[in-house]
Amino acid sequence: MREPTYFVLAALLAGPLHGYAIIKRAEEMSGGRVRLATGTLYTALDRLTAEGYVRLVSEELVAGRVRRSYGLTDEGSAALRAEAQRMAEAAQLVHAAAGVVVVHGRVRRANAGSAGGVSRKARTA
Amino acid sequence: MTTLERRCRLLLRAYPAEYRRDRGDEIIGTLLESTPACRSWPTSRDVRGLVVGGLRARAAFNRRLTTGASLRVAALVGVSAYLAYAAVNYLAFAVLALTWKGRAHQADWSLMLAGALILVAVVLAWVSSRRAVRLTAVTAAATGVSVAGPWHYYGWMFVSVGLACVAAMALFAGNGERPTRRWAWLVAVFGAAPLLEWLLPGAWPTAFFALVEVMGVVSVLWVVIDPRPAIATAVFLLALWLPVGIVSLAGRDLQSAVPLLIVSAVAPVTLWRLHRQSARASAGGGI
Repeated sequence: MREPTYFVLAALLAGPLHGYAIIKRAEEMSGGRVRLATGTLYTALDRLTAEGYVRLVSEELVAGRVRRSYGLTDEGSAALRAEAQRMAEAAQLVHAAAGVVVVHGRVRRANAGSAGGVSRKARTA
Repeated sequence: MTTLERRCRLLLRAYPAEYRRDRGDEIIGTLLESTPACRSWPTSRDVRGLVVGGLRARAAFNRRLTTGASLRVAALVGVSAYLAYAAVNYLAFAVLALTWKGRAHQADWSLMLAGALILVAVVLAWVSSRRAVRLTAVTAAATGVSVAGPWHYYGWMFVSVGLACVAAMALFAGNGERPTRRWAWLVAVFGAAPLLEWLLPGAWPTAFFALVEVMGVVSVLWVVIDPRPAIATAVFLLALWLPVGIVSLAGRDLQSAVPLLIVSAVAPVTLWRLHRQSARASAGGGI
């Protein structure tokens, strides 16, 4: 799963959103890293809808134009969690090789004592 | 409508018409919301996203058909283009003959009738039932054969190619998927090509070769999105150059057979691309 797809699905975790709200939410959640272009968003939504990960939830008229809201399906939610799990396991491999462990979201060196351990905020996907 | 919205709608034309009807307003709404009000153009990122997204949507839209159905549509467009070209040639020759002689002969009227009937058959192949196409095509072919052979330089080969195209059109027309109206430009461009001889007499045949080259390059580049225009162009070139190519190859004149050799080289790649796209669609890779 590519990063923009991951964040489109993640943006819908809290509930259905319309196109512009998905763009804003994905940007916020990724710390500004994923800035979806409108065309890219709709290409992703088309693909995710066809794959059964996203569904059309509602349609309303705003300023004379159709505004559709999209929501996660059960399959979409499962795929997102599976991808998050896969990335966490992949990150764990790197941390283990570098001699650090993640404890409650914080990275610690495995060979350091609790008093002298270097910790920093973990960057989790 | 603001300047920004007008420009957004212009960019939206990268998407196929069917897609625009369904999603156009929604995409425009999102674009207008995400673009600062002070701008008169969407951001470069959005422009790129729309163009790429539109071309992807076109490619996905074209993958709905099986390889066989796509080939039939492309072949129908190709033979339609060739028959339109031949019909306009017939009509132009007939008009020229009438203008020169000032008096109509039976052959001139037959030539004009054949040209008009072929054009009607081409139009019917896109909009009408197979029976209507077959009836018109048979009448056009009979009229065409009665006048085409004696005056054309390539004689029976030209007539055979024309008849093969008429038969192919009668076979493929009304058989499931029809070519949409957006293909009509290809038939119109090739159909109008003979008029260059009268419109630009000093530049003939250079203008015609230039037109064919431009169409060839455009359709080959478009293979990434849709291989069918390239196949249709190849069918047109094959029908047009086959008599010339056979005569040239028989006389060991390789230069005149170059278009045939180019078509032979490009055709396998285009067919492979078409098959690959269709296979991907049936595997669930489309939109």
